[in-house]
Amino acid sequence: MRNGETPSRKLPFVATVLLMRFGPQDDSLLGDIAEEYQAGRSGTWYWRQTLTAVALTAAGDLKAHPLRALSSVLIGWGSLLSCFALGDVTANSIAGLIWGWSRQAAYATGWWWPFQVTAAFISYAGFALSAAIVARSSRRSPAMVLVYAASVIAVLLGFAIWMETTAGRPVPMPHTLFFALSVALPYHWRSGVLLAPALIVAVGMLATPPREHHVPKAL
Amino acid sequence: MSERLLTDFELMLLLAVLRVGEDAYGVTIARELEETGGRTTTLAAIYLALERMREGGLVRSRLGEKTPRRGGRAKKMWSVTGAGLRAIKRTRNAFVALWKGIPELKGARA
Repeated sequence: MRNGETPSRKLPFVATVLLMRFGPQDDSLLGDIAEEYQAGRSGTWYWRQTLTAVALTAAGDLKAHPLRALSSVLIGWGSLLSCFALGDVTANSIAGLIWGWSRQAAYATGWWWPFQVTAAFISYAGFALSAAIVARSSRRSPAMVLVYAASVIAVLLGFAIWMETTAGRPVPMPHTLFFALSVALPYHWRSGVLLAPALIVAVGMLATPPREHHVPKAL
Repeated sequence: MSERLLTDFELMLLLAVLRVGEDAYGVTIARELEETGGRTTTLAAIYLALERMREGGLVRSRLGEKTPRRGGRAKKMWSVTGAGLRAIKRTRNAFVALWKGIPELKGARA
C-alpha cells in the first residue's frame, strides 16, 4: 500500500486504546505506529510498540513526578482499604441473604464457600473502584494508574510468596486487609496476583478521559 | 546539553536523520537505523530520544502531512540543527582520539 491510501487493516483494538490512554501525548507517534502496521507489520510488532510506548511514558512520568506517583499509590490503597472497611459486614450480609450463610455456623460446619465467593466479589469490586478513583484523580498523568497497578502486583506477589514460605501456619490479618489480599490466597489459585492488576488497568482505561489531541511545537 | 558528548543511540539517530534528509520522520528514521545501522528499536524510544535532543537544541521538528493510513495524524519531520552537527563532530573527535594508539585496533578504521 502506498502512502496516503485508505487503511485496509483494523488496528488491534485493545492495544490502540492502551496506547491512546496511557501512551505519550504525541499524535505523530500514534500515526507512525499506525502507518507501519498498515504497511504490513504484525500484530506482535504493534503490541511491542504499544507496550514500549506505555512503559516509557509511565517511567518518564514516574521520574518527572515522583510525588504525583506516590500520591496515586496512596490514593489507590487508601480508597481500596476504605472500601474494605465495611467489607466484612457486607460480605456476611450478602452471603446470608443469598445462601442463608452464617459465620457462627461456618465455624462448626466448615461451610465457607458462600463467604469466599462474596468476599472475592467485594475484593474485585474494591480494586475496580480504587482504579477508577486513581484514574480520575490523575488525569494529567494517566500512566499513574499503571504505577498503582504495579504497586498492587508487588504487594499481592509479596503476600503470595510470604504465604508460600509460611505454609501450614495460620496468617493473622485484619479483615480490612483480608479483602485486599485474599485474592492471592491458594483457594483463589492466587489468580488475583494477575487478575487484580489487569482489572485495575482495564477500569483505569475506561475511567481515563480520552487524550486531548496534542499539537507538538513546530520549531 | 549541547556541550556534552552524544550517547551511541543519539549519535546513530542524528546520523540517520541526516542520511534520510527531508523525509526524516519516525518511520523513515527507524528504517534507516535498522537497514543501515543494523539497530532495531521501537518508535517510542526514537521519539523519546529525539524529544530530549530537541529540548537540548540538537534537532528541530515541524509538522508534516496527514494521511488516512496514519489515522489522519500528522507526521513529525525532524532535522538536525547547527548545534546538532557540532555535537556529532565533537563526539566523533572524542571517539577517534580514543581509537588512536590502541595496538589491538591497529588497521581498523575509526
